[in-house]
Amino acid sequence: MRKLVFLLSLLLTIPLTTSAQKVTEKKNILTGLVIPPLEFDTPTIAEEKLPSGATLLACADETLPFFTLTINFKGGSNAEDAQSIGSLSALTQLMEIGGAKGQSGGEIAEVLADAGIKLSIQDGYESWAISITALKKDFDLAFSVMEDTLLFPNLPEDQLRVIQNGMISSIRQRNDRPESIVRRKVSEILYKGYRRGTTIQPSHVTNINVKGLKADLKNRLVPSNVIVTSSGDFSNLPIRERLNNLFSQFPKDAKAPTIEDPSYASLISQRNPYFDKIVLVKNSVDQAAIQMSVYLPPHNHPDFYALQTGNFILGGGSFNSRLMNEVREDRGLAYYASSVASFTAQSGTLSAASGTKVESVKATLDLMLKIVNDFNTTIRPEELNLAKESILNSMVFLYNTPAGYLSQEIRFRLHGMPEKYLETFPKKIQNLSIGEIEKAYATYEVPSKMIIVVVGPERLKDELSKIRPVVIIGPEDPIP
Amino acid sequence: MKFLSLIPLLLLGSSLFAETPKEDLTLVFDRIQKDIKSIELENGLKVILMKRKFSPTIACYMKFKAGSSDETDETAGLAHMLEHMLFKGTYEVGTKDYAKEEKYLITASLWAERMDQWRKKAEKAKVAGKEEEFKEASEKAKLWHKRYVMMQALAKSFTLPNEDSYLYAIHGETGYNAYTNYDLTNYQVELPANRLEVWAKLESDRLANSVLRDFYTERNVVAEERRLRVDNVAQGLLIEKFLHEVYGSHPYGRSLIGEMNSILYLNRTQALDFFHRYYSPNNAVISIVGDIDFDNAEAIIRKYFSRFKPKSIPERKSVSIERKEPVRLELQKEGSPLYMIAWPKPSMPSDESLKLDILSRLLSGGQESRLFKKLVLEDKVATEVEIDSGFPGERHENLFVIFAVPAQGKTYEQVEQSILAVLKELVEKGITDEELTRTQNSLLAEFLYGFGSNASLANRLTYYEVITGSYKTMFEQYTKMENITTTDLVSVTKMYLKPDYYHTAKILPKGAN
Repeated sequence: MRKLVFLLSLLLTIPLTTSAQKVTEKKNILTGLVIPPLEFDTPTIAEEKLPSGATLLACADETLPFFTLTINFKGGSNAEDAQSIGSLSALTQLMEIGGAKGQSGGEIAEVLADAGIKLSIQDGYESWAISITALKKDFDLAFSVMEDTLLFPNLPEDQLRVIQNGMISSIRQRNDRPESIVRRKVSEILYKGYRRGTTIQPSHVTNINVKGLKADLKNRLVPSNVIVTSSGDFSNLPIRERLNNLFSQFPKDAKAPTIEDPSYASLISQRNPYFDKIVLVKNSVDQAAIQMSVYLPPHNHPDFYALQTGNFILGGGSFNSRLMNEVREDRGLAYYASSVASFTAQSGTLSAASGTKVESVKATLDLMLKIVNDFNTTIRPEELNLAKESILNSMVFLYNTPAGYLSQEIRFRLHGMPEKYLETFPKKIQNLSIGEIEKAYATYEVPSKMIIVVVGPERLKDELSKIRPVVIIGPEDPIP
Repeated sequence: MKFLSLIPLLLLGSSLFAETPKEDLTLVFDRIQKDIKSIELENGLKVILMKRKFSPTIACYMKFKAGSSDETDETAGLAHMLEHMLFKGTYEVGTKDYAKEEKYLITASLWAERMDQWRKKAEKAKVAGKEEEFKEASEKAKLWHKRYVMMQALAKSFTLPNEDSYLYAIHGETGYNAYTNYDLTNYQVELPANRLEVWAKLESDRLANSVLRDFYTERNVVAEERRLRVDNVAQGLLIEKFLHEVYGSHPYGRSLIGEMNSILYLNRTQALDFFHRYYSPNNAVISIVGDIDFDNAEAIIRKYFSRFKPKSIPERKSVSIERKEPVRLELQKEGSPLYMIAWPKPSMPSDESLKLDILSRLLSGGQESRLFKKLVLEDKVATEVEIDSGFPGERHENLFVIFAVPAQGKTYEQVEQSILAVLKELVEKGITDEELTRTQNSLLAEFLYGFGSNASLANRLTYYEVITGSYKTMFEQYTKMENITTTDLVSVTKMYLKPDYYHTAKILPKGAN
């Protein structure tokens, strides 16, 4: 983190022309098409360390006369302990509707609507953010509302009860779709005993109280935990001055939240009892949901490049991937069949998922297992080439909007990505070999350490038992 | 692939700048519109180009005015099925040798149709209790299925699956997808800005040469999609049944994705017929938004799309909803509670529709809105409430629908009474100028903020062009808004949101009375 203002300027010319030549080597309808070069200077992110310890990142786009300012706090729901599950979501909603500094939520909403200002608060797993979007001329008003919301929220009890009702209503709705049940149960199995594997229950919701929310909010207001992003047309706006003043009012005795996110090492040190089973979540549906998941290392691990590129081939590349091709295109077994490799600062997961009619569950699961089993040893050069070209040629979309670009930058910083990560990314991808990808997938024991969860009717048990022993639970049952 | 229609965005803004001249807003819109160029080719194809230079990318959207409302009862789901099939390649894309593939493809199709005929006979016989006939027809269906599978395998030996996706992926695509709703079908992709000709070549080839291969495999995929979006989901089923009850034989009364027994009998011949009938340049709109040069973009589009000849498109008149007894639908199915209340209303771009759009924002735009305050904060009968003004489409008379999720321990009747009370109060006590101005301001701001995305812009521009005949409607509406008064909003409420005529739908747990 630097104290002086300087330009974080990525003067990167992305070599998009070279891939065009590779396309034209394979005869197809586009053979012979001449692609003009695309010289592109990536947008500039200006970075500044503020006296309070917060960081300000700015990316200008003066096309239209409005700006977006977001204050991002490190630590999201991963900072909740067993007694405060759901509190960040409740706090977020209560700050949004409860009003501030004596003005009711309705009064503030009217003020914002009068000026067309958008104020939003987002709670995520790894971070929490408050954001304003407004016309330049309304900067002072927008910032003042945001400041009051952060520093002097009303947090009224009666509104909290409304929110609690809404949260309980959401809990009631969470079994509407088998694909959301399967995702939830996979998390409960993979992260059992940790916040990430703890599903919110009505008892958690009723435990939430204003006193606890106030304490939670106070401890989040730590300037050194803050990254501010500013995008759009913010020229000549007193952003710095207002931020400095805001952070000077943060409580001096705030303690940054403790984040207990399990590391990859700690997760794999405990043998998960479901590695060799299928968990069948009984649900009478016409279309069952299937998910297979395994642990991966954190985002900033050197194997990330191989794992992410491999995932494209396996199931992340949509219609160009094996899962989609074989499960949907070849056999029409499912509407969706894909995989996702997702990463946080501490660990990651690879998940392959599909949904198919109940009669086809075994056939689909057998096929998915075969695809994942064979993956480690059968990657073809053309698959790898396609993955590389697609990933590299779509890199421009990282810069599609200033807000999106900054949002990615936040994520990279939260995950401790290496300095000049984006500059080195193309070369790391380009240099990957089949051997490296296969080795990475073998290292993380895909698929032998994959847990399998199926959401479907209980009568699937007999068929699924031919694959692995089956444990049956209900959607709201804890993992045994 | 989505099938819900786009909620039309509104432009308002008489007094966004309460203390600055109205001209500021006009300047902003002028600036935006200077970056737009629209062209119509000789064959009727409309093209809307818009420059946005922040990143070297483009969003490419193409819409055809052909959706579910253009089907027949026998072919319900065909528009959506065709959308799937247009990702299956052409004479050149997706095949190693079409000259060899063709005969197997066509024969497989014919044999699949015979299989379907015998399947249908078997089903009819079963329903009629005719055992012998059922047995014979089932055997014949199995036989033709076997033959079809064999022929399909031969056809497949010449195919290159997903070559279109492959070609787009190599060129750095993102968002390659499509959607169908009642009014239209949309095809979209985003690419690096130097790939416009890639898009033009692939899309013009799709329009000229699609062969709809792997139809019967893909039919099973669409059946899975129906299970995912409708059969498995109480809300999806509720909406489908509700539209059928309200609209009956009207084009909006059919299932958008098709009932299961409709999907499983769609055939390639029908899909080709729909394709040739409606996929014509004079029934299409293209929008390219992003880092483009107008002259270059126009030249590329003319190069690839001028060759198409216009077709005579069947006339499709706007159809009103038949007035009948109010619908009171109760669906017994496991799932979260949901309440719908709906009134018929005119479609875009009528003045009445515009006023109702503004009204919908006033009623349910945010926590300052009337329905949220009453239902969620004061009466606490609902946890969520929102409005779709223009459901399920805009080519015919449509519905103003209020959706609400009842709070724990509250009844549907309580929700309904609260909604009707809000409307009654609006009619009796009116709306303040401040409330109207606030609504206009937030709508306009939302519209402006939406200019941050190439894809969103391309989608909206093509939508307005298809539905209203001009993308400029998107901008012109805001000037109309200036003349809309609080009295206008009260009048449309009285005229359309009547307390004694409305349709409702709700989900009840299985076994509930």
